[in-house]
Amino acid sequence: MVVERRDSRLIQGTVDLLILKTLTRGPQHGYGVSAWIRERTRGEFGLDDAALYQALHRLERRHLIESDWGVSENNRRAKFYEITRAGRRRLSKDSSTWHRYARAVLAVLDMG
Amino acid sequence: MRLGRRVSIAFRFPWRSSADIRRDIDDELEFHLAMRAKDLERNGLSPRAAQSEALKQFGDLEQTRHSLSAAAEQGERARRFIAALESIWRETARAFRSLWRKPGLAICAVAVLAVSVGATVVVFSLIDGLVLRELPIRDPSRVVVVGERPPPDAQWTMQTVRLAALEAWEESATSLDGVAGYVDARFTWRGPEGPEQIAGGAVVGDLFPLLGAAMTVGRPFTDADSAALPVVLSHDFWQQRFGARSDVIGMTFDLDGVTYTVVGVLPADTGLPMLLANRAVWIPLTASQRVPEARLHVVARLRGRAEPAVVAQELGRLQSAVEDDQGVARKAAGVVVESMGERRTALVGPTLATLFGGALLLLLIACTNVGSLSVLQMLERRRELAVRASLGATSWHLVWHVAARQLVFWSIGGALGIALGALGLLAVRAVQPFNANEIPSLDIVGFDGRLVLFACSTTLVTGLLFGVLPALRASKIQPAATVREGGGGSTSHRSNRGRLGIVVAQVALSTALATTAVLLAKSSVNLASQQLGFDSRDLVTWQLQLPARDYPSQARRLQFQRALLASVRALPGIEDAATTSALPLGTIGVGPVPVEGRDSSNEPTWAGIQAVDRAYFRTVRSRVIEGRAFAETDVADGEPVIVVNETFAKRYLAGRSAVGARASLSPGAPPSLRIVGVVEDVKHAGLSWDYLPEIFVPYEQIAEGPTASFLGATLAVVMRVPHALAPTERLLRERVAALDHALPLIDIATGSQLVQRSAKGARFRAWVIADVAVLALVLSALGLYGVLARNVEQRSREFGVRMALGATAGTLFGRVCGTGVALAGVGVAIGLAAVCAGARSLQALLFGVTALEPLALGGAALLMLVVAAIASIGPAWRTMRLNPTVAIRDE
Repeated sequence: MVVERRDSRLIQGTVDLLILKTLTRGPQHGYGVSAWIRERTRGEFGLDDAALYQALHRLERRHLIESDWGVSENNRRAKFYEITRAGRRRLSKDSSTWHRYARAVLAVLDMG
Repeated sequence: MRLGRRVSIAFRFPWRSSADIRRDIDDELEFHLAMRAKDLERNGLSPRAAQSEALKQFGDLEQTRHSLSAAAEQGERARRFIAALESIWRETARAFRSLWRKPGLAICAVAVLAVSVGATVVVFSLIDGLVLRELPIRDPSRVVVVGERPPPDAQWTMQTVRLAALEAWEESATSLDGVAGYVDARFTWRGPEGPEQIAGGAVVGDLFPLLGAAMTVGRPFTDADSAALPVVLSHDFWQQRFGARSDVIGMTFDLDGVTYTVVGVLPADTGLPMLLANRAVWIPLTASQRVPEARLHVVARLRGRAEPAVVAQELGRLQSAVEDDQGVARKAAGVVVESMGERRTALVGPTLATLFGGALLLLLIACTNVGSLSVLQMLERRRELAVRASLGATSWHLVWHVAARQLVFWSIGGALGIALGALGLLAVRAVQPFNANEIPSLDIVGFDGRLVLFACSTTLVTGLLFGVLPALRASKIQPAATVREGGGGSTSHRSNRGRLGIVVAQVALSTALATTAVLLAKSSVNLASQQLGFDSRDLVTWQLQLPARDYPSQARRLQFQRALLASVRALPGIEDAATTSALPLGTIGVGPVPVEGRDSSNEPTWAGIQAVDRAYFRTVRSRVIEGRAFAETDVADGEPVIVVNETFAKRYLAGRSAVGARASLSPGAPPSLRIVGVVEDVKHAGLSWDYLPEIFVPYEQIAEGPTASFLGATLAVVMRVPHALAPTERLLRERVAALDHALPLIDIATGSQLVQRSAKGARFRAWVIADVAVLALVLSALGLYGVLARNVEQRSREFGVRMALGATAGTLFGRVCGTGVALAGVGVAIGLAAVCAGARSLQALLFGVTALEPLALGGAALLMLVVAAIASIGPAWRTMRLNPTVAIRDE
């Protein structure tokens, strides 16, 4: 399932959430984030690359993550992102919202 | 992999250009694609296939790059803006803090700036209000003042016009759209608080509609409604005495016993010729006063594009025609037409020019002083700036850093200057440096937004020119070179010479100012101490105006005068008392006076005419030079005699004895009055005016007729009160009231007050320039001190070497002092040269002094050199205390 760019803000918020969560594991470059999400969702979820980078830059502008240039594991110049304290706060808030939302939806869907 | 320090985004330096931004994004995306391609290769694709597959999987690469760049650039711009604001704030705060830490020098400099900006504000306000302001009347460029041409040797530029001429112009002048006249008048107003004297005017023609000034209340009167006895009030009078009531229309006014009805109130600012605005009430000229001989001030409106010179010719012809018709013996010399603007400038010109010159020079000196201060500050901080530059501050950043400091400085000075300017205006209003005749009141000079704007722009412009620009130039250095050399050490040759040049210029300006101050001071002293022709000490004067209604005949007036003098002379402490129709230093009526044996057709003989009591010359202690003064024998029905003054005798009776010659008081009559004496000249009209030829008539002998009301109705009383036991005002009023309860007395002044009033303008000018000169002197001394101190610092090594080689401390002291005096010497020379160059324009302001007087020039020069020597002492002293080894070693 590829998340299309023209989907709703909900989807956009979801992408942000996933990225933030991913970065709690430590600083990572854009490709790494994408790879990890795909692995974690067992291939179910593949972020559209364009959307990923839009999201990363957007999050950076909002100071939820910050970036710096570094050297990747194969000695290439790469831009690394790290989550900020504000980002962690946002993550926890949005994450609990998402859980509530999901529970509510599931509650309805699982009826009968 | 850790991110390094946490760099706050807003403070990132250097800024990223668009190219940088795009490069970063490209790198990031390329990295992504490369990683994906690698993965795909691992899964078995060929490198090329992996690459194109990676590209395909990405999605729209171009679009992404575009939108990411756009977003990043926008973010960058926002950051820069915020950083700029933040930097402005930071620099301003820092500038404030550094001023706070070292307030001494800063306070001096700010004070100096404030004073000079304040002075400029005051002067500009005066010039604006008194000269530049557009007159608040309809189409002011077409309104002119018309007068008779005065005799060729008279000092004034125009005279009043005969009513007959005015009427002729009204009827037949084609180049005028309207003409009207007015005459000063004093009335006894029986108001709610009892009778009092008020000044006013009487009008012929439609004066107010002609000017087109909008009435505050009601309407102006025209010739048509003179029968209904209308009166118009001035704005100030209406406000002060009637509390600006709107129901004042229709009120009745008792003026000199006649009832008038108020029809309107003039606007606050009528912009009328300066002489006008002090009048409280205006009425149409009464029938009894409408004689062809009556003299009026005339105002007219030019028709179309008529030129004043051409108009003057036409009016002159019409005037001649009327004079021929009426058989007037003495013809006017012609007509003068002046625009209102010219008149305005001529009246206040000299004082304003002085103020302006003084303020400008002060501003210049202050700015150069503060400017050099800024430059010095910048030089000290070059090292710091160099370090900043090497850390990546862009040149704009540095420029802003330098500019911010200067602008903070100048803004404080400017703001204080505005406040001082407002205070200064209040002070000027209190001092009233202009004569009451010259301008209505300084109320029209106000403090408004335009003034603030002017002050702000002056501060900004001078701040940029003298503060920011030099500071920037001083801070332009190669980073590496400066960081290597130690401290804020040597300065470049050029900037050094620049500063020397500035100091020399300051000394020159100060010298010019000091010289001018000395000259003006001398003028002022000369004016006040010249031979006045009368003894102003122990003299008390006051005035009465006898209204025509109560005193219709000269006989009646004479009766009053005798009774008054008898009453006054009986007062304790009065040594002598007399009356005259014209006080010394006051205005005097001037007219043509045929003199026996002189043909006055080419060169008219004219003189000031005064009616004096027989005891007058004795009371004012005017010396009799030839013949005698009036005596008890000069009674009403005795032989009519007159006395003339020196100037009259010299001018019209040269080569023969004045005593025994004859003259007459009116152009028609043959010279039948015998001159019995010649007295000392007395100044009239003003201290700086020349003596006028004058004729004195004994009050007892004024004949009934038109001249009688002119000479007999104004009684100015002079009393000699030798022992400071002057009768109180109340006592005087009682005595007058006892004779006529409806007659108020006005304007009690001592002789010395009369003199002071006359000298006010000159004294004010002298005082202003003296103040400015003192300030300029102090500033130049400071500037000189600063330059010398720097000089000594720079040459400390050289001096150390000299000392080690055997030069004594004394020699070095002399050397430094010598430098100081030499510098000042150059400045003084330039300053004196400037004064010599401007001597002619300066002459106009002086009295009894030539502009090139060697004593004044020499004195000022000496003063400057002494000041320079004193300023050099400080730095020179420091040289003496130099330790040679330290000096040589220290770098």
